[in-house]
Amino acid sequence: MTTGRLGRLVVLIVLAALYGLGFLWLRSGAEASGRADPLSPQGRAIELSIRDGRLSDALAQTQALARSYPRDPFVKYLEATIVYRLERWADASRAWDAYIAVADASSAACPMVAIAHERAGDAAGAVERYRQCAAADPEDPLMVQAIERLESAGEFRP
Amino acid sequence: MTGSRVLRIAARIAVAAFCLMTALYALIASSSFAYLQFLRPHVFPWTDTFANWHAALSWPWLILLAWVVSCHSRHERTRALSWSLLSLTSVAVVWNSVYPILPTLSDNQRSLVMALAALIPLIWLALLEHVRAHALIAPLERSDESWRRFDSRVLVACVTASVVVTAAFFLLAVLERRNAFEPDLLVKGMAYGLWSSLLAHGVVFIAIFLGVALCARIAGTSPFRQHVTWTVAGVALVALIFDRLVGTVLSVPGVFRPLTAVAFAVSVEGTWSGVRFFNGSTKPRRPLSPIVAFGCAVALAWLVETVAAAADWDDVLARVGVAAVWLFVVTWAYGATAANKALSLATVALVCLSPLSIWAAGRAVEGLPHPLARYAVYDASYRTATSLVRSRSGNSAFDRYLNANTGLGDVDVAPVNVDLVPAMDRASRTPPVFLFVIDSLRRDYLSPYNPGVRFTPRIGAFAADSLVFTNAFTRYGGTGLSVPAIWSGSALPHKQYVRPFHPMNGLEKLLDANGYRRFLSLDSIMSGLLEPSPLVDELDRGRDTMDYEFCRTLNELETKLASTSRGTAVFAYSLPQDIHMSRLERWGTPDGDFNGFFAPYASRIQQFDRCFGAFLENLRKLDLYEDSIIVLTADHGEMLGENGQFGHSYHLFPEVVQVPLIIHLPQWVTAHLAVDTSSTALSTDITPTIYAALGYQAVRHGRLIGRSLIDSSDEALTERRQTPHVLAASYGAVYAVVDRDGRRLYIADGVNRTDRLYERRPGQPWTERAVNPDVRAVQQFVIRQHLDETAKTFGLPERQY
Repeated sequence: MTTGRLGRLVVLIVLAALYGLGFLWLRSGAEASGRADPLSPQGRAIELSIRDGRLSDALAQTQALARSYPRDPFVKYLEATIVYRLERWADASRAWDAYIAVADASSAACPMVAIAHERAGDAAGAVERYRQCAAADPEDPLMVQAIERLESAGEFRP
Repeated sequence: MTGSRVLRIAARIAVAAFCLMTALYALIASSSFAYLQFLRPHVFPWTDTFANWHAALSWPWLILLAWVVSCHSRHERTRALSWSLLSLTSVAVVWNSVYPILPTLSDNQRSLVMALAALIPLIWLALLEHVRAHALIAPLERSDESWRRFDSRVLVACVTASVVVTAAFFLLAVLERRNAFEPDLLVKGMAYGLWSSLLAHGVVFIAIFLGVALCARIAGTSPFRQHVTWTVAGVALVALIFDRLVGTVLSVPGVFRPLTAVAFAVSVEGTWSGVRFFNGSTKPRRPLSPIVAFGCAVALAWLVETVAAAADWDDVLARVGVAAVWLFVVTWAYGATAANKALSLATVALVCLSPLSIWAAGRAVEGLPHPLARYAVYDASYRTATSLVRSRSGNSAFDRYLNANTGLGDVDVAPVNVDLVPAMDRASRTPPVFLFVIDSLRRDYLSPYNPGVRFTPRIGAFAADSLVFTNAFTRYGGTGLSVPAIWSGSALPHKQYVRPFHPMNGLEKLLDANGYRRFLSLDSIMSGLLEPSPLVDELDRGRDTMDYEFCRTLNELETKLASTSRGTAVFAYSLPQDIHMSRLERWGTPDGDFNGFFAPYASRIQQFDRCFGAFLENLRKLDLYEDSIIVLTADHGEMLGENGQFGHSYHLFPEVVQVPLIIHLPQWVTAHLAVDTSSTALSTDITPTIYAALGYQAVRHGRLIGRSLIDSSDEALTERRQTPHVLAASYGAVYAVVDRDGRRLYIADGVNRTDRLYERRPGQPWTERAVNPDVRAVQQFVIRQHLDETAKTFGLPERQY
């Protein structure tokens, strides 16, 4: 094989490799680094603990995961979900706030903070949070209904 | 070409077509969903005709095969192979005549084995032809300059082809868009679409160039290497396409999936080689002129779009057709490109890298911006090209997880007791119950849901004194699991089916406990799941499921009701097929003005609206109406051209998952109830609602089980409004989450490896949104929770993915 032919072959291989890598990169999507893999054995163990009602185990496992992925919104979501189900309302409120602070899906989680306040007996805090949620998502009738419910129950008077 | 040659080529193609059709039939039969949804209900009558005539047709096929093989049997190298092929196929044909195989195939491994066996003659024939053709390949002489010229010619051909294909499909998109209201596709939107399409095609065709150039290097100059390289490359390409288009759709299990893909690919490649072998001519033909070639490309593209619009399944026909157009244009462009020009290496590198780098820099593909998503609806080639280079919106592990937990045909699942009321006594009152599940009925084609509908006045009147659930969703897109889930009153394992089904059949248990006399259309699904009972009086007896017509069924039911003694507890169920997509064409062009609606579909609804009104009138005459529970709903909705899609397959688009749900209850049930009809309702809530209407207090063992829609407790309403609900396609790894009280729909499509998000404001249509990673993570967690709970409830094993 002559040098020219070899050089051309090398360039073609490099171009094909670039295309292959480019395709892989394009098709790999926007899976950001720094995120935990919920389908890893560790992630699945947490989810199966939640399913089986072993919430304290799930919380411990999630907190361990959080040490490896401190900025991953989904880990914070898991933590908030578990604490909420453990009915540790004050912690749940803080955990949901922590999730909202980093997640790009805050409006969906907003009511959870309000509910945690409500369950904790903090009607004034709940109404305030419900109002914030209603402002963020004016189309959601549930927020307005929740405020009306709290106000009509006499649990909170502005 | 001589007449004999043409005849031999025709015979060769006929032999291949018969084998491929046999194999395809067997492959379709092997898939539970395809067997139960298409073959068993006789959706397409020609498939039955083919199966029934298969044994007889195999004799002329054998004669044709013998004629094709005769030209090989005279040559020493292929004589033994030829005679052994003929001997084997003769035995198979005799066997098939005595014991016809195709009509006996069903959804099991035997069908997969049959699919592979049907391809053996083609693979054998391909082997014969390759042995003969090998001698015809001449060694190549290639200097440095000739390699440069070859590369340049292929590159120019690929770039030309990308421009021609883009232009041809763009022209059709412009013409088609003229008839549609597309505010996003005015001049700027179309220009954006054209630019993006040119880039996407550029990326794909440059990849084709690189593949061809490298294969040519591997093939080198020796005849043997050339033959093997191009054959293997062809087989690999066809196998990949086959697996992506057919293997995925039919969910071919385990090792059979690569085996069938390779067997089909070898058969197709072998047929192509055989035709070329018989053609014999190696003289280059004069290429078509550019104008004629472009005209042909446009005509082919039009044909592809037209055929796909008429009868496609998840874009399969469109993509196969697009591949054919690409092949035609590349072949023409190669022939039309001068063979004596050589591009410099720098030019080749620049041309190759430009489209990919522009595409990657723009990331125009990430979640397709709205105008491009709309443009893709009108350009099948752009859809195909972007599907190859689009970023995956989900993640591959999650897709594998979904696929592993879907279609559990190979998993033994024992039935689990679904007892909505553990120890059920007879109810104090047993009103007549009528459950009408109209296959594929969309809510927005009924006046209670859409004030613009003028063709359903009787259903409108019925709704006026009934409960109209305005936010109802089916648990399953597709009849296969939707109907059993309605009967069960629970979400089910993704398996067709767990048998015996009775322990899981909440509705049947209710009917048993109260001695209901049952008037049932025993469709192809429920006939295999319901227990035999002397109380069953069959409707539509002797008719294929696809022939169930609402009017005829209601007439028959009226007759039976008239002859039933007063005071008998009666239950009626039917699954009318009037508006199933496969049936619409039989009704012909409808009369009447259905402006803004899909007329063939709307006209059928108008027709059964009259019958339904007459049936209700008859109930009034029999003094049954006021005391009856009457449920009018659908197993799923339907795509009627939205985004270029028809049917329901495994889509979970809003048009498919939203269903009408109208429930008439006796006044003594509703008298003191304040029912919330606007919060989320699921099809699995129907059976618990019937329980509640009969006075039972249903016990919930988990969130898979439905909930009574007339339970107005705070807990029930909170759950309906605030809990996310997971929906699934019956026939593929596609799941959806409905949350925010039915205002948001997230779809995880493990088949097409993508995801979508729709949102709507109250009273407004759905709008597609980009899926951000945080929303995706949470929604996928919700789906995993649902599947975990299903696995726990039904004792499913942990699946590897």
